[in-house]
Amino acid sequence: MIKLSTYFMAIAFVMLAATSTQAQCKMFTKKKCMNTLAEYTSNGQYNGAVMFEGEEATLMQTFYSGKNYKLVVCAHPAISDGTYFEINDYRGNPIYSSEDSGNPEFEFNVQSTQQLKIRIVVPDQNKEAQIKKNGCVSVLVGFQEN
Amino acid sequence: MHNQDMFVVIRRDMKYFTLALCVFLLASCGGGAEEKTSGVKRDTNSSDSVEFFRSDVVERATRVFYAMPSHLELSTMIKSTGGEFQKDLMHDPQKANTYQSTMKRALALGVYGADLSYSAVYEQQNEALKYLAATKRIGESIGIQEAFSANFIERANANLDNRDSMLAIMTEMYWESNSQLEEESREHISLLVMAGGWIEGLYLACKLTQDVTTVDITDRIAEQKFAADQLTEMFDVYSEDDYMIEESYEMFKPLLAKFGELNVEISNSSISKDESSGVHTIGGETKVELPAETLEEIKKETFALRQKLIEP
Repeated sequence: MIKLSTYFMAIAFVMLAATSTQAQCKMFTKKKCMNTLAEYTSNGQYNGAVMFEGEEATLMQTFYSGKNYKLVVCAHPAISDGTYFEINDYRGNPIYSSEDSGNPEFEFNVQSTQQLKIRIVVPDQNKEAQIKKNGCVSVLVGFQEN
Repeated sequence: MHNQDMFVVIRRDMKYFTLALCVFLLASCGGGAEEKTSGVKRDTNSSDSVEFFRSDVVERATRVFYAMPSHLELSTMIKSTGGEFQKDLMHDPQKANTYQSTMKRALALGVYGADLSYSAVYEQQNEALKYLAATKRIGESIGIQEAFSANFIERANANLDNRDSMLAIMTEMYWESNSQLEEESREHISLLVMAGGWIEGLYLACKLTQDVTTVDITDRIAEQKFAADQLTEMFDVYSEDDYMIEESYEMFKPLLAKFGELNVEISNSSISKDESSGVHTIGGETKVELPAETLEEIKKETFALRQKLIEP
């Protein structure tokens, strides 16, 4: 019976761990990322997830002419080194990459309304490692009138 | 039952439970060709083996976040086209407690959220308060409490005369409700709220074309093709395993199909930077062709769909 209760406790722990990572990610975004939009109004969208080294994410979003935008890719310090983003147009042609600058913030406007694909890359810094680092990554978009 | 028999039963149950646990871990940790996690669609071209701490498996994983235009963004666009505030266009806030199903409530929450943004952007404080109460009522009925805590309501009441503060509070509420749904893996509800809000914004914009015939408002409606395509993709992903999404998708299909017919002309993109401000400009022309006839069809479908959404 002791074994059984230990088994159930282990299961409960695993399930709890899986759901609590989302809660931690939300808390991280709220405490460490939201203020980076500064004077821009957040679009209110929560785009946050726990990412492992070697993973990528894509945000598809329409940006409207007549507005200024600020994009912030806010990553937990465990994986923020080397994390970068690329902006591609509707057809997937590359427009901008933060890989060289390492700047997680990008202020911009669009001449005409268009859908952009923002690709976030968490590079695999140590390919030999069996256990990969992970952390919360949130993509924030704020806007203001031109 | 002898102790030994009991042990066998437990062991047999444990076997099934272990199997169930494996299924759970498989579902939550990866391994599928296409997986939805944490409010995102997740495509993996990975191997079949799954470990809790994955290594090589994650190498080619890609998460896809979808973002629809926010209520606030749509409302500010409507205002910038020169449209006057029209109270009668908004949905009756008194009807917030008439929706019985979760699907109807989620869609109506989107509608009320858009009306709240619309009234706040036009600085209609009294109206905004009514819609704040309506969104609170309906939000709580589908288990979104955090976004409508006493703190938010108190702050909204205290900042009624300050447009910027009101907009900031509303954005925060929207973020809280959105993130709570994601956190609780209720992305399907989140999708319905977004869809309802988008329709209400589109409805207000279409109504505006009856009074203001500027190229600007027509262009703004045409540009909703991008949001419509994105919504179609989201419905495709989530309707596979959710009857509520499937049912809603059927309602949205005629309108989404109209947007699907529109052609998009794109010239090559470019980028430049203003060195003094550090702000980049992404150039390139993107034009969505919207013939007058199709605009009328889109308006007709929008009005019909909006009517369906607000029916109890």
